[in-house]
Amino acid sequence: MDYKFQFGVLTDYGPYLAGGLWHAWWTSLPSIVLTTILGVVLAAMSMSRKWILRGFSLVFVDLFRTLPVVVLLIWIHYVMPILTGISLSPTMSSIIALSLNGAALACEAFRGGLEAIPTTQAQAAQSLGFSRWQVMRYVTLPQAAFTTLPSLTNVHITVIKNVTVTVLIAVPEVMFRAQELTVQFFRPLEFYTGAAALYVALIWGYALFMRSLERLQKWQPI
Amino acid sequence: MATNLMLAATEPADTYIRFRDVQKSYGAVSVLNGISLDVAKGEVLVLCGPSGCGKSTLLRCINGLEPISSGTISVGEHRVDGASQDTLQKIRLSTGFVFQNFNLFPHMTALENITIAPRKILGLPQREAAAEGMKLLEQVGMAEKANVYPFQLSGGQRQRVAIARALAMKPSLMLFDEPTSALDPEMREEVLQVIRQVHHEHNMTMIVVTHEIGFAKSVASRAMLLDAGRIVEEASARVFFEHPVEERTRRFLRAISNDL
Repeated sequence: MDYKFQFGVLTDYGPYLAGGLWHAWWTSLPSIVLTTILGVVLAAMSMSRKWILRGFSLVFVDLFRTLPVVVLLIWIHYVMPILTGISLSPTMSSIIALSLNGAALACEAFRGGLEAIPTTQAQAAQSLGFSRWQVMRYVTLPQAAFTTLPSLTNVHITVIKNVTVTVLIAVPEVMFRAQELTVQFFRPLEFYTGAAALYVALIWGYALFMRSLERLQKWQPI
Repeated sequence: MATNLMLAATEPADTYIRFRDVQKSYGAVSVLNGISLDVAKGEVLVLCGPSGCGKSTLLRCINGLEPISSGTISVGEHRVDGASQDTLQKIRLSTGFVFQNFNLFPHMTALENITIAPRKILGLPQREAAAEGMKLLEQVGMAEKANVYPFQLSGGQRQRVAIARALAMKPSLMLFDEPTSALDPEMREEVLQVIRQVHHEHNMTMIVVTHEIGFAKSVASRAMLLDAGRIVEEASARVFFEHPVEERTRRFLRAISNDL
């Protein structure tokens, strides 16, 4: 071990490295939002009485849960343009890949949450005259939202972590910049440790935010 | 055919609920075994029977929570069996259901529990729904708990809110499925009192599954014993509770009065 730490390079290039967080965040946030919306819709579909909706949800979840994110990302960014002639920006491709993968995970989280709501809740709502859609909208989903929060946080964290694979298609987030700087200055330890610290800070902050949402629940299950 | 004709001939003109040879089974287990029954508008029918006799199922068939296996059920001008979702919704709009375990929505306050259906189904503005909701909460003696969540309420209080929630849709029929059997004895009376009051103020058609004899005698116009999915005895409340004809009914009434 004769490596000499020179964390000094971070004072010069730290800001540039940290600037990658901006890109990491703006790739994560839309992906998290899409993941959540798609996840809810897929979970609702999986509980539908129409087999075609259930089937779609099942196939979607199984497909995108099993496809490795790297394969999905490369396919969307490099293969899809060949097929469709539409080429997307690296950030766009990343958001789509991360959202498709995240949605499959979020669907399972929401489904677990929805299935945990006693069926008597739906019966009470139906007895009042609510349609099946309204039962979901006003009674089961709002309750499931809170019970799902902890597992949804895990899904979101996975999505944020997956942002690091976008280095492959040159989204200029933290890992990409760490690589860039390392090639230039031969200081892998400093730059990659810096990248690790930045991601830990981002994800830890996000988890704290989600924890604070859990505290908004004023009611308790009965 | 002959029996159908006879039944048709003896039907009261103002029949609101009509069961004809209703069968209900879960796989091989038969729960209702040929129930035929008429309930007139404004009538209060008390249903008794040992647990598992099918009384809750009978109630849940009326608003289509349970589909039946054969026979016909009609409520007002609607057929329940084979009804579309739209028709079922119409039937449920005019039918209040009170559950044994209250089934309040835990994520809504007492007032929100009452106003959600009028707001979202009938499209009542928030303010109007809240004003009517408060009136109902006053009626059931729960006005001071309007902004409290169900987990903070006692069983009796929850059931009173649940009754108000059902009343908020201004139903013409109320179904009570053992409304007091999940409650401590002291809380039962407060709930029964509310049901009595609902009966007096709204003169509503009601079917009540209960073993509260005192309550049944004071409110019911008719009472019925169900056993193994069949109607064993059906009579005016007075006759049913004081001079039952069937040995099975006598045995049942003895058993529940020993319980108390």
